Amino acid sequence: MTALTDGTRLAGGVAEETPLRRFLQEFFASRLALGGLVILAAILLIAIFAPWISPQNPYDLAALDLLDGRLPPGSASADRAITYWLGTDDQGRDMLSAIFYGLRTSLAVGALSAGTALAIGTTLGLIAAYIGGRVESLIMRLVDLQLSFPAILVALILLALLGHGVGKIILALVVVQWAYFARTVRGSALVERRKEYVEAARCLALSDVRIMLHHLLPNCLPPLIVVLTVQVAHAIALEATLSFLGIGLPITEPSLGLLIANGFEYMMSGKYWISLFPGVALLITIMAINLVGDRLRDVLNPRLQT
Amino acid sequence: MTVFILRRLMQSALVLVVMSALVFLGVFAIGNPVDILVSPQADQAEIARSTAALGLDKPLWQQYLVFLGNALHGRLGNSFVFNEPSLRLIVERLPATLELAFSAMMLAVVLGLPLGLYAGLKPETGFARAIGVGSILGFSLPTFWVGIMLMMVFAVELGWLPSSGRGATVSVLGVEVSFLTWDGLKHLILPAVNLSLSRIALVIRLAASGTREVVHMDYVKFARAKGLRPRRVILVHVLGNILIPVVTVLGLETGAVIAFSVVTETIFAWPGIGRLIISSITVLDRPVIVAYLMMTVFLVILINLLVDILYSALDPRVRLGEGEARA
Amino acid sequence: MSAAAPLLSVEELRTHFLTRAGVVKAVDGVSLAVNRGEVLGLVGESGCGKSVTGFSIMGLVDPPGKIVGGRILFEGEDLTTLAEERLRALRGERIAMIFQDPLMTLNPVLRIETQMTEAIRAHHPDVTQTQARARARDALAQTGIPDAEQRLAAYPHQFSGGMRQRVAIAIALLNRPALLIADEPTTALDVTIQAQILHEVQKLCRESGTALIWITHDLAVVGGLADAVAVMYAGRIVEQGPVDDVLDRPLHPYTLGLLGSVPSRTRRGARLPQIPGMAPSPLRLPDGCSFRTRCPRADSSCANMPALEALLPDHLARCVHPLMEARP
Repeated sequence: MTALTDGTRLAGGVAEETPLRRFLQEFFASRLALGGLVILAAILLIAIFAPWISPQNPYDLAALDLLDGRLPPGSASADRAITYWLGTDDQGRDMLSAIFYGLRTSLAVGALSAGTALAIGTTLGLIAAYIGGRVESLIMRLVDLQLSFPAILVALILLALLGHGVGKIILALVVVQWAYFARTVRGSALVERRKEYVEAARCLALSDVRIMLHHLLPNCLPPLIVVLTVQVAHAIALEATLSFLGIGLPITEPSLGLLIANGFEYMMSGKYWISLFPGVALLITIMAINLVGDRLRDVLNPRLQT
Repeated sequence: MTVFILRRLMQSALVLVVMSALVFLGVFAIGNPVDILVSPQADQAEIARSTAALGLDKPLWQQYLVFLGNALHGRLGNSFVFNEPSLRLIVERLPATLELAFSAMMLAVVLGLPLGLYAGLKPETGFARAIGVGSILGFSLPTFWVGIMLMMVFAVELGWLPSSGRGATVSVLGVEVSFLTWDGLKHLILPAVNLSLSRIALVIRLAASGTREVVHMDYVKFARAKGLRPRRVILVHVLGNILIPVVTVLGLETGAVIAFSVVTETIFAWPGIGRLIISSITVLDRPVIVAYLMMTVFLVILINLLVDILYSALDPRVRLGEGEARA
Repeated sequence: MSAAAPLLSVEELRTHFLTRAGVVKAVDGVSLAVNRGEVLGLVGESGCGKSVTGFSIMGLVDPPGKIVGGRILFEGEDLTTLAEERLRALRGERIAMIFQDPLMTLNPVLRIETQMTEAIRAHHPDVTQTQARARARDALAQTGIPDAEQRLAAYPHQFSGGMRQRVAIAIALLNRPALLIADEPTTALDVTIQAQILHEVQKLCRESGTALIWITHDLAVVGGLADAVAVMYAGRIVEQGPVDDVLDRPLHPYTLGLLGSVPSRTRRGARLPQIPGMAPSPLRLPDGCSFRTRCPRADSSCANMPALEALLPDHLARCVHPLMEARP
């Protein structure tokens, strides 16, 4: 075929580059992605070390002073012990500390639910691709059913019926997300399953589990990683939305969504900081994850390779 | 084509039945069904009467049939709070939600398609890159927070637009719509923009990636080799091929938009079904919850069905069948 | 050869691609000429730059590719210096091109009628839709497609490969261009259909006096079809001349190798001769003659790039050791 070659394919060319190095090179070629990764690392550190770096523990009622409520950013506390860099909410909570704790919760809930959904979805996807037949049909029908309904609707249904609680939120988020993973994994695993070395492995009577884990799974990793980043961002956003609506995390848990909900009623009186700053923190987190995920998708997508 | 439609209709009916069973199980399996469907303020006689009417003393599968029968007749219980049939409450508020949802989708297409097309055609320019980052920003922004910010800037600080409620409505074919009045339009703008932002981002990304792929296809090159004007090449050959996937995804997203309107309606006090469900969940007005779930499930299934049909109508390869080649 | 000025004269064309891995010299000094009504076969293996030559003439080389040198003279104009709007006016009207894979050449979501009439009306806006439609129908019938009237309303996927290619040819010849560039149009088709399409194109071009550049890697095709042949290797023309001269008395060792590898020319049962080695990567061309790494006649003097010279009347070759020995 005399298809117009782009010339980057070398005949017997430079083969010292490992795929990993090339991947890293391409990934970091985008400064945005690099920025996103740096921000993400910073947020992760904040989340992990929140109790130690926060000026105040905003969920220890004893530490709060109601008289310090609704103070604008930059004010000092009544006893001059700390400065409320980002102001306080109506309970006298230091917004900065509340945001740190809130980020912690958001990341934890997002990662936990996405991780669990990943495990469940991957398992089911692998089983569907490997075993095929009726089992595959059944699993994929479930997946299609799940995916044809909007995530927020499913979450609403579950939470309306189950009630409040951290565990229930995570459960709802897992239910909403597993299907994306299952579908992605099944797609990639199917491609791999048809290859001959898998046939060979089956002939050698290697255990099914081994084949699935060692042969099928590695091929699914690239798209899986992309889906994972997108889903973590989704989960974080969804949890915040549900908490904002009042059907998410209980008020006793730090949540950016709850903080924003709290601040909503003070908007009209010009106390914007109670809603603004947690929102910005949420936005930055989600955006950083999406920037990284987007770049990953571009780098790992074979069809857009030039 | 008709076979296809019939088949999809049957599939949809099946899904509807399955979902209704799930809702039923969910509602009835988590507690005493009497508590769920009968108002807490009812007295013994009322409870006894409702129990008999709803068939709560019969075996589960019979109850399901009763439930289904009632549902088909539009009897999904009376709201505890409003003391009206819950289905009627939902139907009254549906037009408001649909108006909001369609406005948002309209904005998404009108703004998203041209921007995405441009970004796909000239991916190396600064503007295209800005659009790319902007679209990531668009779907990273939490809708509820954006709504609050929009309200703060345009309603509180600048005072240009009202901050809540639906404006004056006009009756069209028996349905109340508000976009035909200036006052209604003013009230519609902020919530519609809020709801549409993440959809605009989605359309931009779809259109951009679709364009990037299509532009390298042989048929585009052949169109240029024919000497067609660039505008025609883009608007007819490129756009024609990305429209199909974009429209289908958008169509499917409409269900999500309707569901997501709960957020926007809560913030802007828009009198749609979204607002109703949130308040119902908070006060545990279960008949309304059930009615909302059934209605939304029905709508989503209906929309998916329509989108499938639309897709097969748009793509000639599906409509006329592959493999009809003649030598 | 006629004494009139050639219809198309390509002089020292250079088209390079600036990629991240380096500069790919896809076309590196190609000169050829085509007279009115003449058929030129442009032959070479995959990657030698023949398609890029075709695209360069049409002005359809996309970034990162660019024409960096040379001239393309067509009907008195230098195509490399023309504005895009002028080039657009020429495409499809005076010069047309058809591609290799007919499935991808036609837009899957538009009717055949639309794809044909737009080619007419892009250049003749005064022609009405009805008139254009009539012309399209006639053109389809001329390429041997039955039921032309029904076919107009159909979509590309409803046709077989051979039919689609006929449609593409019909579209290309709608405005009676002076030159048609066919980029491997039969490679993707069955052998039996190939012969039909070949015949069609030949007939149509003779009828309308259209000159034809037939790009292919298949020498057998060229033999029956072309008036003149140009052989390309690694971005350059290595031999050029009237078809009988080149095929019966090749001057360049590469041409000889190509001829030797055509199955029909070997005795039955004898081993198919091969040209040893592989074509060099366009990023790393050897100095001097590009073929010398695979040529049985190469020596140290081949390190200097030979020029394309007329070693015999009208028969040019680019070789330090051409095959000039007497032959039967």
